[in-house]
Amino acid sequence: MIPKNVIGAGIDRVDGPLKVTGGAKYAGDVSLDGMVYAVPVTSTIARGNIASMDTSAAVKAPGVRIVMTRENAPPLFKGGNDYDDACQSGEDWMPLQDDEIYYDGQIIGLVVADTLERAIHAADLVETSYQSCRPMVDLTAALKKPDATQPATALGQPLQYERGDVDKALAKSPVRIDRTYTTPVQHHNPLEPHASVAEWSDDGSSLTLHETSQWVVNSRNSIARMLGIDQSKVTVRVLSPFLGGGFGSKGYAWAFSALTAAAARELGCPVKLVLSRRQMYSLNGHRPSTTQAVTLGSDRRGRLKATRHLCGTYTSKVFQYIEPVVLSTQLLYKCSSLRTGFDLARMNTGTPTPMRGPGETPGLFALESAMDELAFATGVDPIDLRRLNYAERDPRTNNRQRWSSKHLNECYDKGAEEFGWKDRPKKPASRRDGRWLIGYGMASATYPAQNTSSSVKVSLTADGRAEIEVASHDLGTGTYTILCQFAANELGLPVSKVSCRLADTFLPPSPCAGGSQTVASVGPAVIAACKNLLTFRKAGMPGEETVTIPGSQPNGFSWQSFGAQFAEVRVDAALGRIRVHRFLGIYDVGQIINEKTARSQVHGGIIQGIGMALMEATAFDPYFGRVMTPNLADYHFPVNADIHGIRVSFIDEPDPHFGPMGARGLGELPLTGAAAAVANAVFNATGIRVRDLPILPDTILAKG
Amino acid sequence: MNPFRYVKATSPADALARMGRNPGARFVAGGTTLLDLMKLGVETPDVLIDINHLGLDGITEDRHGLHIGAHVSNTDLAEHDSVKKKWPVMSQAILAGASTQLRNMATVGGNLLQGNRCGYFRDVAMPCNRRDPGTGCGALGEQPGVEGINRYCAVLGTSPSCIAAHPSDMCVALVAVDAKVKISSPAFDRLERAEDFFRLPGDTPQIQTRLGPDELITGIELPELPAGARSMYLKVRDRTSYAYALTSAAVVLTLDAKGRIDHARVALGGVGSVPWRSHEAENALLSSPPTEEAFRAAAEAAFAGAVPYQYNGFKIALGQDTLVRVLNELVRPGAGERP
Amino acid sequence: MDNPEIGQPDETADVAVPVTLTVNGRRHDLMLDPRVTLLDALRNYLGFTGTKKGCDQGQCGACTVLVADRRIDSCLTLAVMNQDVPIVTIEGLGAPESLHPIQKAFIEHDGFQCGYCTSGQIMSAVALLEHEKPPASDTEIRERMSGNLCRCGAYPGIVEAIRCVRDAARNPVAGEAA
Repeated sequence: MIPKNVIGAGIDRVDGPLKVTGGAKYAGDVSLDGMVYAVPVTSTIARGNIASMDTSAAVKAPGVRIVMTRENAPPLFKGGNDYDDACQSGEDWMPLQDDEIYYDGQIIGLVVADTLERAIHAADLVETSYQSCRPMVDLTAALKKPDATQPATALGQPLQYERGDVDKALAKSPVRIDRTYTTPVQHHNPLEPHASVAEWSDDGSSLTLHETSQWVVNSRNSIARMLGIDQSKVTVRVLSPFLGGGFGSKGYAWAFSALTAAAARELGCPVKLVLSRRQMYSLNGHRPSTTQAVTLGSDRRGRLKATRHLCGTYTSKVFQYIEPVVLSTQLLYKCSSLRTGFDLARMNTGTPTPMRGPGETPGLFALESAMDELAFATGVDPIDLRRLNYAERDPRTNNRQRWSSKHLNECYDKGAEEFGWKDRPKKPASRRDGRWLIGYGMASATYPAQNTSSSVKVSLTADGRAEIEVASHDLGTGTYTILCQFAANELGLPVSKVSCRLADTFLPPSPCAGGSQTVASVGPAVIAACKNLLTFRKAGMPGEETVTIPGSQPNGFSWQSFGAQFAEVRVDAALGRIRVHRFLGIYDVGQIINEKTARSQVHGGIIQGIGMALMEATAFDPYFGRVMTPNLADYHFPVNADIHGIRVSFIDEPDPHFGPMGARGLGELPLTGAAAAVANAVFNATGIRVRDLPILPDTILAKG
Repeated sequence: MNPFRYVKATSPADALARMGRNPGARFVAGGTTLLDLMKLGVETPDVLIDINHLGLDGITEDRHGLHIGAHVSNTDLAEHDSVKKKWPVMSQAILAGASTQLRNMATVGGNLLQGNRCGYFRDVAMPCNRRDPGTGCGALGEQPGVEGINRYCAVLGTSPSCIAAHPSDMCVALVAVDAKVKISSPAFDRLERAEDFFRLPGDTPQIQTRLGPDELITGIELPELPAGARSMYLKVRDRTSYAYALTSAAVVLTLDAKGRIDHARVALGGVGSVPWRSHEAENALLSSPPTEEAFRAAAEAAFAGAVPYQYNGFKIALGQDTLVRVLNELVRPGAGERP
Repeated sequence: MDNPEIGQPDETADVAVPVTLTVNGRRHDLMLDPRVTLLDALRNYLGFTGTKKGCDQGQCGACTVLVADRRIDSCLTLAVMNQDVPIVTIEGLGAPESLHPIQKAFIEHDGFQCGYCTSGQIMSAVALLEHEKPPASDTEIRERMSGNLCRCGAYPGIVEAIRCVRDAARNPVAGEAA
């Protein structure tokens, strides 16, 4: 039977049976004949030079096949720094080519042995001495150093931006909020560690890499470049059919993959490398800390007259990553005088990299906290304040360009109704249940919509089955299921008759599974291919169709998703304990494709937002620059007991001006604004305004 | 991990004999601390003596109290009917620690030797007198005014050599119930009070307990609590579950006929270099009525000698409030432990 | 052979020793370096890669398996210490065509996203419902599942799945209808 309304339905994941039986093979699960194990040797200082490395004990240890250091490493080359050409590495530099140490945990060697146990031990036997210098790991100090810069743009958008006359408007504003907010370093911490398994053909004409990759096309291009491979002569194939979470950390290509392939080339056998949890705090990106000065000027009724948002953040010494913090401030509210500024320091840390909701996530913590402060200062209800400053059209275009569709006011209305916002304690610290103070908070969410060119191949068999093939990815986001739904819908087949192959560079290319663009980029290609196959389908004939469709071209509309986040917290002020008792998110993301996977993905975003609000932070030793929280007992993210009462609702109106399905993408949005909603609820519960995340028991005690 | 030889001991005497022949050996029971520290390179034994098969896994009860074999798992002790009924503070403390999986693996004997959680101790690249005497204390910092990441460190019982906090939950309760540790050596068996088992760091932080190198923990004894005793464990942490204590308190209390406190045992976790018995708090409580004022005075007495460091000063106030909360809960149950 | 530890340990001490593991009802005779953890024995020497390594330090629960009907973190125990006891991994629970009720419930309630922590979550759930005192409330489910971290944030679905299987076991007729 052909299911009706296959689009939007809460269909079980098609990869579910494999995942619940342990049958899904992730990169680190791959085992090949003759495979040996590689373990990186990493620096224990954060800045300086290698004076000497003594590898004699490691070389002699049982089972060791090679110990690679700067002394004997093959030449390796900088990976690409070209996102648009799918050649984007996380570092603009390559390890084992020089003596300099730029950050703690930097790769300075590679040990390969016949067993994992022997490789780990031999890596410990490498003795390294350094000439070390005091590293820079303090953001405030780093922003004052001469190597700090003021980059003009990020993602093609201006960071240094002004409209109207902010200083004048601020001077005339009767109400002013002028505060500094900070967010800490956060690590993605996918449960699956980064891994690479490399195998060369005997004649060296092809290299197969089983990678933890959110973007196999990029992994192929970048790793080939790092290895100095000419892809017209050597075939490089990258596979990543199952990915144990990424959250941005597996989008760019990282040096360890190239080292694995280089070792496999040297040794003539397959090599597996899986990063340790500790190594994952240095070698695969993180969200950089930020310090953000937000100044809001309004009239006494809360109408915004001026907004200023100045952000300081950092990148590493080996890559220019820019966390695009201030961009969402330019568009979220109607405000004629607005300035954003951006300072970028350089620190001795591993390279920061996009992490779920890059830019918007730290940026909206500051802006939406400041909006809550303005609501309190003016006595206007926080939702009313946001309605009052509603941007009916895109403020970046002098309020001329329309949104492709925007239902943020409906998010506020629906959220207020479902959450019972009218019962919110009107005064801070005015409601309690026993020892627990109760507070409500809310914030807006926003994230841009985008899509990029993708290809796809769909095949139809004579017995009425369809197969989709595309080098896209399912990070847990539901891609396998959703693409099957598209094909089933177009071809009039039950979902069970459609199968899908993903994340293999031998399949038609597709963009990075990041930036919430997979459905909007790959979905239209699947639909187009299926439409071309309809005549075959009707005739009951086999057929196949490969199509490439471009990303959406500018159409006179601004594409942006919105949402409203609501939190109820309970605070045991004497002991500093905070529980998020309820959380409700209402999102306007256009058409929902799979209600079940969408809901789950949104749960995840909210839960990461709760983590950001209440516990997540990476600490560096201030003197040594060493990561002091490099494990899951010291870097806390929420456990099951932290989470209850999460509810989610979608506006579920197709966007008429964005792609053929009107689906704008979903992954990042629910994390943006979530931490602010929690912090605003903490203020409502306790009267304590926390401007520095995370809100730990000590935070409440210090201010209570 | 260093290579090592693995041997299985068949009796306490066999285990001790094997240890006597191998100064570089370690006993392994649950493994949850030892294997973790071996992976970090903090422990590098050349022989592992498996003591999971010594017949030390029974719990027996008599008129003196409860006799617990060293190899009883944390889960089995916490879920034991008598423990839940008569020593609830023990059960609560154990269940507040780690996860079900780890509690299934961990043994009560091993728990007495739980590895330190200080980030400097656990990182062989960092200075730590507890791990490598003479290298300094990374948590105190290399230069004045630039202290290390010491938010989790202790405020009581620290020394210039080491400010690490003892991480255990169970041991805090053991101190509060006057438990005794049964120890065997080739020469003789002895009992050590739990309170005395742990050593303050002083200038030898590498010596963490009074267990000799040729000794083996064979059990724990829980004496009967005084008639009418109430007991409770409360832990404050950075997330709702599966996190180490910022502060905790284990209290055993009895009231006399006039409603005055006539027996008090107070032990604090997360704040001391060792599971911290507070005689000062107990003295302040004895003979007092169970009032908020008396509790507050006891809490202040408990922390009178506390020394804060750069990032952990909050533990003094939080530790006091944790103790006051437990005391209040014991005399007015259910007053505030809801969400 | 009486005292095999006698002698100066040296770099040759990592010679393999015989280890017999009984996994999912089948006996496996192996020669293993004593350093091999139960987790690595399952994954690297027996091919049971359904059991995952997330932290290798007992801090995430991805490696949860049942040993003698108890859930443990297999990364913090040595293979050589787990002989003569029945070990159950996710592969021993059910196959795609014959799923265990908890596996079915995880699919139905979407108790996972990326799937990496899922084997550990399911093994914990099996232990919770079949070998431990059944949880009385959602709060208790959450607390007792807190040794299994999920970075995707599938906790609400995990709790729902466990609650439904528990309720179905209590009330089989209603369970089948639902």
